[in-house]
Amino acid sequence: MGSWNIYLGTALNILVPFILVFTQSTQFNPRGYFAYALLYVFLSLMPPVTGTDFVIELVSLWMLTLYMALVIWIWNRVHHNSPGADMSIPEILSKLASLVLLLIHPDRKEELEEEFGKLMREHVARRQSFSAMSTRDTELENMVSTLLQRFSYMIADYDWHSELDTASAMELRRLSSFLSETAKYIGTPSQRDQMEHAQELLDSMTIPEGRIRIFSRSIIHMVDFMLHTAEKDPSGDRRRSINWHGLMHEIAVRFSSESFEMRLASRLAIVMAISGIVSYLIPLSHSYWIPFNAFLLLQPSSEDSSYRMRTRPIGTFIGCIVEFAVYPLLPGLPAQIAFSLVMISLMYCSVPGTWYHPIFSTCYALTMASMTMPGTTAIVLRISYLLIAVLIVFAVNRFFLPMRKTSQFRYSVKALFRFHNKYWDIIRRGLQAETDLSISTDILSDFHMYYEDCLSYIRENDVPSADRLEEAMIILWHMFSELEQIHYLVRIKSIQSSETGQIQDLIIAIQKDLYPIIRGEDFPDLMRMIHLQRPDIAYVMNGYLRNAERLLEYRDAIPFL
Amino acid sequence: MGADLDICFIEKRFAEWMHRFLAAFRRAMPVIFFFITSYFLILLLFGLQYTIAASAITVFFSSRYRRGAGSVLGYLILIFP
Repeated sequence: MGSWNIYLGTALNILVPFILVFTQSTQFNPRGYFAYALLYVFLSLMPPVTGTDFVIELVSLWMLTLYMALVIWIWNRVHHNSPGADMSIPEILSKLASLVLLLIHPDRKEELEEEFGKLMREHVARRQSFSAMSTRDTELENMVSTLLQRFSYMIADYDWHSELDTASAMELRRLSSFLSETAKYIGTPSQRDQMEHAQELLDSMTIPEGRIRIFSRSIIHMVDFMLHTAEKDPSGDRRRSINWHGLMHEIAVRFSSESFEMRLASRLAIVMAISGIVSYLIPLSHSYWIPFNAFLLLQPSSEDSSYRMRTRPIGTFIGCIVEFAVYPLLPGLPAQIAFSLVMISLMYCSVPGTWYHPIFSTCYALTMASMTMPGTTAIVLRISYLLIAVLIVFAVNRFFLPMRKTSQFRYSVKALFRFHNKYWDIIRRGLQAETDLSISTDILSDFHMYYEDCLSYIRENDVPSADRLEEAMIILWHMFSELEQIHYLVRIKSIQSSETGQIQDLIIAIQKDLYPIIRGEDFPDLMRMIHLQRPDIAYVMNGYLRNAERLLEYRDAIPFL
Repeated sequence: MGADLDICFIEKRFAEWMHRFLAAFRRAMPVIFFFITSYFLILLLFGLQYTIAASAITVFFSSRYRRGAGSVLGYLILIFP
């Protein structure tokens, strides 16, 4: 369809790369689009001319896909890979049981943080992709994510150590035992006993109101919820529904001119459209090398693109020299094919983006091209087309939605505040009706990913006021943990219906003072309002506002304020 | 003596480079094997002008083969998008 005329071709060159990047890539998996988009680019290099061509191309691709499935299956049988080395839910629960025991030993907090950090990083990486289907298993995954976030509440800071006494240590041991047993029985007929055990633990908890009590009850409630969900019949998943709420939420987040996905998708679409048009208008052979090179030169960040725009011409130029020297010495078609296969094998051994990687790909491409045209012509065209591609990508990177790492960092910091605001919206909705756990879990996962990304950027780059900024990040994390605890209290109906209106007003007032920029004018009044509420809610909200006040001291360090 | 030292240095650098190259070659062998066998499959069945399909599918192979076998449905989705 793309080869019928230039308008259709351009439309496809805009739509296909845009949709692929928008749906497959994220800031944390920036090259998620690459394999699919490269397939599209390859297919556009061999547009079918006749119906027979179309059928042969389709059949050859199908055949190779089945061959690929077979080879991967054999490879995994030989290497004993199981699909994904991810931890199962029982394994995560067992791990949490051991981490709860570490909470009782303040001297082992470094070990606790390290072990929990490993668990969080692994689990955050498993966040569901763009269009999640709601099934029993996805619901359980969401609950595990929430469970981990609730656990992080205890690692955010150690002020609760002053509450640690014999009774609370005993409670934590009971919690650890409960988690270990649940790990054994979840998904089995005995899980009913665990549900009863959960209720017994909640009814018999006598430690006073405080962080340890809130933490223990929130963990038990979430595990109880998981046990009820695990009881559901998975055959009901045959009527799998698309998680429309989650999908619309994802689309809304991505559809902003500041979002990573939008910027990369737009840049790639423009690059492919322009290079496609230029390639169409140039009346010379092999002009498809222009969009192909442009695609390879365009990278998720401007800095990476600039790097490739230096290394690719160097490698291509050297590759042309090698080809010029070697090709005339190759005696016939079999030798030429053998040489091109050796070159492409060396290309697969090289790291993409380095200066030597294009040497081999250039030799392969030129050897193939030289079978149908004079070698020197192919070399001149190769270099010329590469330079045109470099110009196109340079212009788009410079003038159209450029993505520098510093801009991305500012956007990420802003996003952390935006997530706070969104979570407050969810909590407000939760006061009136049951909220979709998948959306709050997605926000939790997103927050942690952006948080880790910001911290890495601060540590690896020369950022002004880096120490103060890092402290501000940690305060934001504490606040987010407190937010999650508030959500838990709302979900278990800790709020009386007579208090709902007051809490709503309180939340609206807090949101006004925190987003889009922090102001502290109303904090004293807000703290007085909280004093009137239930002790558990008051405890957590007070903690949140105290941290928000602390954050005000770091205003000068926060980039977008 | 200086020349001997230079030759030793060059030999040492060459040995290090060779070691890194062989390690990279071993890592890339599954992808190279897949590409070459796909290439010849297409060359023999359909002809030289369609061998670019081998490059296209090899991109998928290189990003997926370590991830696990996956499901039949996953591969069917690739075939029938």
